[in-house]
Amino acid sequence: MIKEVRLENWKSFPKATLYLDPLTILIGTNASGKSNVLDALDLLSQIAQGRDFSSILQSDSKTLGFRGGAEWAALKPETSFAVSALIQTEQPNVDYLYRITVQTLPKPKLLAESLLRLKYRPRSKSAPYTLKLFWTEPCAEEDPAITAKLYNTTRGTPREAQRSSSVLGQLKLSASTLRKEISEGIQGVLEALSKIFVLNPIPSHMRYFSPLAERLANDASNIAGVLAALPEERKSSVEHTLQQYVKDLPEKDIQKVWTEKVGPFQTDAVLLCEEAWRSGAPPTKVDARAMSDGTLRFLAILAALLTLPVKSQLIIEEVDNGLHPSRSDTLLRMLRTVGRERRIDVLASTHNPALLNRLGPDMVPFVMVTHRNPQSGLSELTLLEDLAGLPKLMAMGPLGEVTASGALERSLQANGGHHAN
Amino acid sequence: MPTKNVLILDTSILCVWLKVPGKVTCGSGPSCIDFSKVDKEIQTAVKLNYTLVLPLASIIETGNHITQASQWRHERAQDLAGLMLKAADEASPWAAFSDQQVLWSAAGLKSLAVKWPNLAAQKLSIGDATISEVADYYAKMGFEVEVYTGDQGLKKHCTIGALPQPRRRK
Repeated sequence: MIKEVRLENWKSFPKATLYLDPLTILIGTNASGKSNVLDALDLLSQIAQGRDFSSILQSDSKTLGFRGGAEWAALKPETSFAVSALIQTEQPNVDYLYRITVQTLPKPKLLAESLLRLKYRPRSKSAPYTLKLFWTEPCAEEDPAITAKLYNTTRGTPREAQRSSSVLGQLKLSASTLRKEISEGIQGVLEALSKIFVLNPIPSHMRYFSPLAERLANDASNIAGVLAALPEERKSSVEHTLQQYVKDLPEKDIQKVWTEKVGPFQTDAVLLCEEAWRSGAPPTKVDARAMSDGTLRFLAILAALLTLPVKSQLIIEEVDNGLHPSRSDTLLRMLRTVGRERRIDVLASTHNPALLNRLGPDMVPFVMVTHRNPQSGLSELTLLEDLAGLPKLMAMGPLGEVTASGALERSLQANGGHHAN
Repeated sequence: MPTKNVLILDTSILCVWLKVPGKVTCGSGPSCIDFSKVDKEIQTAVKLNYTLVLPLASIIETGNHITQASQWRHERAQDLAGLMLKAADEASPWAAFSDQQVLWSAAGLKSLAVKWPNLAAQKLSIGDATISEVADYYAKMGFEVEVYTGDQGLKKHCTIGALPQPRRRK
């Protein structure tokens, strides 16, 4: 799992730390930098896939799409950014700290990269025993290659790497041939980063037949194909869970949700539901074309929670978009319960006071706020619990009201965001 | 780091501190609380950057005691009004706890309806009876909470059960 992501000169953030938990909520006004935080996670997942920096940073990303492309990836006037991730694997008392520095202009290329293994002493997180698993040597601007040093108990075994993509990605194939410490670290980090999934459900893409598939698309367009392709036993349990939650939605009285294979070769599928408007009357069978945007988005989130690999990091921008405010509890319960069952961490952003009102006081440590520093105009990322005026703010009402009234924003401006690191 | 300490005052303590005629002390014998004791605690809390929380019920009840006092009604009302203004000012350490959801929702009213009559028999006002809910609300956010009440004096408030801890603290 990913525990922390640190940003340096990334987009509108000079410096920020995002803390991740089973459910983390990101809030902030428009243009305060929320999407930039989520983009950093998308970036990490693409880096892990070994994609070229220039293609990642171009605005053709299939997922969120980095607004502004390479030109805006680094905070101006800087021409490089760094992103780090603190990752915990199955190994007890061990975290991995991965860091990558990428030049954006004139051409995207690798500047530095390293992977550390932090081994904690029992009962103490301070001063861990640190092992440098790999790190890059400084190189000149025009150098076509960069030298990575691999841990060998002395000064490191040099290995040439291209500058167009991450060393991590380049070491992927040969990871099993490296020293045990290095291969464990690389595989652990790659696994965690490759399990980052950005969900941006687009209801209009979900309304038609889709081919059978194993993995959900980022826009959830193939939701029917993914659910229909599940093994029979899993399929019925997933459909049962879908039904349980969808019944709580206000749109129509949905009795049942399921998928059916269609077409001459049964290689496509369609999403169906049964609606009952009047008690006693027979339910009506409806396909996805007639389902509301809110219902489809809700189903997409649930389908992601139910079908992503265990221990995924699910990212959902504007999680309650299109959802009726009275269903915030259902949504939160679903994110928590299904997330916990499938060990999927959820990072969700929202604007919606109705959802924030329902978070409850014990969610305060799991809320982060983006805002623009009024002096510098730069983005800051603050833990809600670190906000100086919080006890007073929370006396005024639940978080949604405090946010909607602008009091949260005023408090951030007055106190300044506290840099979490 | 901003301080995470919260001090919640009940009606009796607020009356003592505002010197409401007829309510200038509470408790009896060695546990008797007078102005100098309350003032000392409040000044210390302010110095230590605590947030001082007045539950809305305490403000209303104190207001009632002031209007029913035999004298000094205008003066004491001005003192309480001053406190209300401070609570409304976002920069002061005083806060008026006015979140409706916590205490006065249907569920909150039902639970209060069950527990208050017995407490009333012991002369505990609604404001005093609901103070633990306000304290709980803050404790669940991860704050260090102290409640200052006429019958118990100054006490640390602890919630029942463990709170979910973020990974950064594990």
